[in-house]
Amino acid sequence: MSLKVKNIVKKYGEKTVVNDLSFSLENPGVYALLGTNGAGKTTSIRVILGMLDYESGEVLWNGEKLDTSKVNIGYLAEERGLYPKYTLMDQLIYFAELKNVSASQAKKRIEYWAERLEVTDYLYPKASAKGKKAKPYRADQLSKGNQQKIQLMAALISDPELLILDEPLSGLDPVNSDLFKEIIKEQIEKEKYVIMSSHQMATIEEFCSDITILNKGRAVLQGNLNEIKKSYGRVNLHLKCDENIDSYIDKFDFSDVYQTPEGYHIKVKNDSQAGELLKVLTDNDISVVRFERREPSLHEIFVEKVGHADE
Amino acid sequence: MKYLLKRLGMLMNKKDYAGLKKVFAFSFMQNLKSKMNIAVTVILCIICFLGVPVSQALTDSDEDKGSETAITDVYICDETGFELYESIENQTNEIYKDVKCHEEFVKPEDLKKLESKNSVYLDVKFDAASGFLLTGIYETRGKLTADSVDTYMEYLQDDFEKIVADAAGIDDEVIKSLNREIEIDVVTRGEKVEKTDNEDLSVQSSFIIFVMIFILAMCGENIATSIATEKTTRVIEYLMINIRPMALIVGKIMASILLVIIQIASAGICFGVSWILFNGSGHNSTAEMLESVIGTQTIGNISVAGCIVSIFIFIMGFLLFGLIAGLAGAAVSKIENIGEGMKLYSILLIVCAYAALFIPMFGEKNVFLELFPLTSIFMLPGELIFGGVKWWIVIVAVILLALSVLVMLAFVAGVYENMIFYNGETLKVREIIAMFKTKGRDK
Repeated sequence: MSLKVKNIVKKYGEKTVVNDLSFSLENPGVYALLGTNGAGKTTSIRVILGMLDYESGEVLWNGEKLDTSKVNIGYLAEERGLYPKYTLMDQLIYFAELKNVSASQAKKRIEYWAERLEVTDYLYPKASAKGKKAKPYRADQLSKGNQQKIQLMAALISDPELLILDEPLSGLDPVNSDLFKEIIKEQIEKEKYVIMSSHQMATIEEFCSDITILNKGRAVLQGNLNEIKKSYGRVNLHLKCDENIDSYIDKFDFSDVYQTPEGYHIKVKNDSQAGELLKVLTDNDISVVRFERREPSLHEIFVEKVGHADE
Repeated sequence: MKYLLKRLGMLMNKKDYAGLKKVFAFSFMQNLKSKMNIAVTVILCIICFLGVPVSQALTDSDEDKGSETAITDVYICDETGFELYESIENQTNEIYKDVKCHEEFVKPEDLKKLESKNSVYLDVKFDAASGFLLTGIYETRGKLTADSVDTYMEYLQDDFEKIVADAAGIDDEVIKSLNREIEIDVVTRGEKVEKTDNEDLSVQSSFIIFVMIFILAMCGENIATSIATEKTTRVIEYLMINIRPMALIVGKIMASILLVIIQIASAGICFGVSWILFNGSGHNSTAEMLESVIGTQTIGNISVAGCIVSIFIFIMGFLLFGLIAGLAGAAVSKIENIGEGMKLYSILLIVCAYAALFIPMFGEKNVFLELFPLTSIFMLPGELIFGGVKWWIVIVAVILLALSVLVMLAFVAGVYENMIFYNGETLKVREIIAMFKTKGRDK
């Protein structure tokens, strides 16, 4: 199986919101779609899902035009959506039936996911002590976090081949965030194709092998995350010495230097610049406690590519 | 125009209605569960069930407070020369059938001497200039009250025409014929004269128009709110993956139509049960009441074909207004702005319904109103059911209505997708039309 997004152009009036976007998922795993607010992530997702018309390009699933009525797709939207006044069970069964899951099958899956996501009490409310039948819960009676769990259930209820998660962890407390991560990992283990959009770079680094960074509708960086990092080189230098080394550092033309109680954090231009600094320090009998070079984080790459607008 | 035609062609695409059954079933079930709909249905049923006994009680109270009268004897002094005694004696009214009539002359002042203290002295006079004068005199020592005697006198007054006719040997049917309204009509030579009962029709048509305003206002609000809720809560994003916009909107309208049919049927059943229960106990007032409301002559004009075409027109009209309500719901981005979105719908509904209601009252029947789709749906059902419209008008109006529904469907299909993802101020008609002109992608 594979998903290919080829040269998508989407305009709202005269404004181009997605400009010649292409990427592909050749293997199961998580693909990250990154960008600042308004970069075109959600619009790209809506185009992939067939919700929006687009000017040109194509979206292919296994080499054929993606038909959402034939491909089993799960979607967790950025702006959460549930019917506020309908019962949770009614709407989950409805969402399942829309994906051609029978009501009886849906009920079994709801039971499983309710337990897994710890929302059993809301989906199967217990009778009161007096034996009075409990009223089923409506969406507007749930906290934001619990509503998000119900929405994740709606996305997973059809056991989708392709799962699209738009900001899945936003607004979740650390405990529920870990629960969601665990479920996403399970989906990866089940060899599902996942597209994830998030502003939490640490989460993306945890899950994603391939990324696309969008800026103003255009892909500014694409590829395998490890290779991207490698291409930057190990430009982050963490240095700790017993003595003050400001005078030595000032002699170099580093692009960024800042000091914390743990030492200096220096952005070197290349391998030789770091080597030169180490040589200078050892030549002057400076006791070096820590000299560690590492690749840039995704956060740093993102900020570099799209400016300082990362929210 | 080209895009509209293309959209019209796409309406035939089965794929655009994928998921329709599921949307319909879900919307219908949620409509049934809605507390507001349950309340409306219950209230309608209660009104219809209680309407029969209440109307009977009101009618009965005009005739007599109870089912019996305290009057035992009536002494008739007939000074008219029409020999009315026998006709008065032969009265068939349930309440007064046991009252004994006496022809022998008794002076009013002699009433106190009679054995029965519950006797009435009835003096009937006739004067060619002022007509009949009925005077009832009663003795206060007995059970009789002014009310009971007054009720008896009113009964006589209502039936007096029949009493006189009986005495004169004139048949009931002749009386009915004489009382029929006299109509005049002027036509050119060769033109077919079509008989209509305009006065009756205006009452019944007005009733049907009011019912339709009520239904369309309530269901329009329901459809628009449902669509606005899906849009503003973003549920639409889940739905749009598997369902085409046309299936979404048409499914909701169909669910609303079915709900209305169920509500009307429930109300009708309650009315029927109530009629059987209360009419079966010997009262005829309900049947009489219905006859007086609908009109004996109009009942005869009701045709099955007319009823079927009326139902078709009603459904088409519902679809047309439902689609407009759907657009109104999709035009808003916040649920609290639904009132603003519904403004145009409400104005359109009131203007069209009131035009259909009042313009015909001020002159001759307006053919334009009968043909124009937004007004024909109000005018034609009543005229068709009670037989007051030319068939060529019905055929042309139905064709125009069907075409408008198709055009509206095509228009909605063209803008709905863009509208539901639109966020901002409530969309104006101009902006919605501009959206339609945006080139669409054939999916």
